[in-house]
Amino acid sequence: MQAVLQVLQYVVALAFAFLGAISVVDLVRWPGRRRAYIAMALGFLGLTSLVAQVGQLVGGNPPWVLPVFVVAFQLSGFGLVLLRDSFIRLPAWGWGIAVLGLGGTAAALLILGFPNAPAKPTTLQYSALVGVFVAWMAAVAEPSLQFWLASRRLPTVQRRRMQALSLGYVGIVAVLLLSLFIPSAATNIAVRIATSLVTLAMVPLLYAGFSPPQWLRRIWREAEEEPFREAVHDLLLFSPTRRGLAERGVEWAIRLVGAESGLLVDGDGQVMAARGLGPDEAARRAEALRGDEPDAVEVAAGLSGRSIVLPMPLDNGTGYMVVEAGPFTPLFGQDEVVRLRQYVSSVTAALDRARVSERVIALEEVKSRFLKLASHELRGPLALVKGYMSMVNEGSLTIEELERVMPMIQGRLEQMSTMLNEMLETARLEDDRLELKPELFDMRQAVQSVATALAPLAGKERPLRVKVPEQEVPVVADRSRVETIVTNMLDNAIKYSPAGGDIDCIVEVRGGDALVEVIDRGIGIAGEDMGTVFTRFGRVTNDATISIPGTGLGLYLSRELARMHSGDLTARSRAGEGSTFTLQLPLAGAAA
Amino acid sequence: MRAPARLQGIQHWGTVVLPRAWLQPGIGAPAGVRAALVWGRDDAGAERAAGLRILMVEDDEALSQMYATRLRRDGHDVTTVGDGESGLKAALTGNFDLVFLDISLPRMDGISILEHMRQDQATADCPVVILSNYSEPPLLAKGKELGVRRYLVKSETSPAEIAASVRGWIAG
Repeated sequence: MQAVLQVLQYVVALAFAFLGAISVVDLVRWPGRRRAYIAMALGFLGLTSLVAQVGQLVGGNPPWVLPVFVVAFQLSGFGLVLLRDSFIRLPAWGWGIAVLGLGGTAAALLILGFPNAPAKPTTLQYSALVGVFVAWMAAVAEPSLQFWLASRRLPTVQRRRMQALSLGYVGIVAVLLLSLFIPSAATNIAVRIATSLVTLAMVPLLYAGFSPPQWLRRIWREAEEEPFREAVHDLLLFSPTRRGLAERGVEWAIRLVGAESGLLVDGDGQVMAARGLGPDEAARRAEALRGDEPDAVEVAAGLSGRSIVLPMPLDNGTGYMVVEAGPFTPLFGQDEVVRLRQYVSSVTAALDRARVSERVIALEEVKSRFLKLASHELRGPLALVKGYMSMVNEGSLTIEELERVMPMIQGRLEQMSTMLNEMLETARLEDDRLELKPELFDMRQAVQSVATALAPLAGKERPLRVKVPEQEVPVVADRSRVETIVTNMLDNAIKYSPAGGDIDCIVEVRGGDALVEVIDRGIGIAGEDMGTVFTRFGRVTNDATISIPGTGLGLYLSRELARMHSGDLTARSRAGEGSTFTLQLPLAGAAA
Repeated sequence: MRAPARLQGIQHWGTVVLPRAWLQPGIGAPAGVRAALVWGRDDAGAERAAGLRILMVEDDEALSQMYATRLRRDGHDVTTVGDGESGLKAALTGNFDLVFLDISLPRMDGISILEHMRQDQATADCPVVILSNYSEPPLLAKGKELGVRRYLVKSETSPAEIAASVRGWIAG
């Protein structure tokens, strides 16, 4: 029996030494603060268990054994205190108790000394030894309890790991308590064998705590499988926005592989969601991804085991799902990569689907806003025409008066028909039904005919000055569409010069292009509104423009028409100083 | 020599100078003169007081001219204003029997003008009619809450209808 116990004690000592060695190797391979604390706690514990056997081997403890044992033992306890502090901050008084308890008891035992086996220790010496053990147990039990409590909030894999670690330590503490305070435990061989076996059983628990094998991780995860599937189902079906989807997507990716942190990078390189990382850290990681080739990133991920980076082929470019391991999360293996890959492909599809639905919703909003705007804009001229008709009918308007307002009615009808035309043309453009009928014509004539038609509208307050070159300006284009563009440019110049001012319309040839420039001295466009004016339905609404009728389609349509002719329509403006719009079309015969 | 605006459109053979007080509501002209004033109109015969003071806040000049022309024909004194701030300033003088408000206006919208008017003693009970292109339910509800006499959509009414209703709106 004695021999069995001796062998068992050697096995226990070797097992702990092995555990300590693994934790140190782990630290060397993947350096990190928390891993260092784990290595400190388990490494010194391993050293302690080896040193404790020296006396048995050489028959009597050499003098260096006691100090090494005491210092290593207390340092292993202090390692766990440090680890606890890195998760749950230790208050100042906590530090005081830990340092005084561990250091004080160690110092006391070293000063008093402890005799070798046959000699009986004094009560004081025995008390000092018990003090060392009690201090160690307190330093270890408190963090273990904290870890157990903290683990309840964590994803399964992390929870099980923390629980394994704390259970392992609690087991050791229990064995120590037993052998210290129940005298029979120290003498009864059967009890000692039993306690040695229990101690041995703690080794795999502690091992699982910081480096669980893959099969164990898989078993741990199984409990989460069902809620995970449901969550993914919900995620893919019911996330209305991409951002919401990304946030929940990252959360579940982290739980899926038991990672500590993660982020999702959009196709444009922006961080869409991050968990366990500050905004700056997340941005740094996204920045680093931009430089790497996706393949290289993936290979690197497989090698390091610290993180998994999976590319996501989104419709706006390649995005990335990144999950990272922490000290209490497993290093990743092939199993995690495969699982994450399946999951990420679902998230990718869902993100693209969410983008489509976001676009559809935005488009619906834009369209209904436009319908509202257009119907209100049409009500004004309609009210005028109907109103005067009703006055003619009831006989309250004389013929002379009617003649006086006739041009105004005409103008409003013209305005209505322009608006309707713009709407129809835009609809055609949207459906790709807008067909150009190109012909060869002289730009000077087109501009002059439009200017003549609009001159009455401009009135005396806004003299319309047309300047054309002496020679012909031939273009091959759809003349009616070009006239639409020029009409729109001149009409805008008139509309947006409510206080009057000269309007210049200049036709010229520059390079291979025919240019039509319309310069007004009206209200102009503020820099921040420049982006709006060319968008579909885009209208700048402010005190200066609210009374000016328009659908917000004119410039959008004109630019699209110009571009269909391989030309362009551009603007320069400053608020309050007027605007210059330039139509550029290729000259006939010029190389396209 | 032209007759004052409020007398234009009344068929007459010469200009009669009338005391201004006769044209004020509540005082009015003697019955005989009143009969003469309405004489010759197509709706003559209806007993009515002399012109009302009407404010029209409307940024579409063509439209406000049209409504003003028709209302002046009935002998009303119409003031037109083209933006919200001037509209509010004019309204707050309390010199009007009826105010027409547009909704979409530069510098201050019609609803804001109305809210300010309701907070001012002089105009808290002033009859207001909204005449707008906008007829969304929330706007209609807001108008009702602020006690407008009517909420009209420009394209669905006519100057003649408005002219026929003004006295009814003032009566409440």
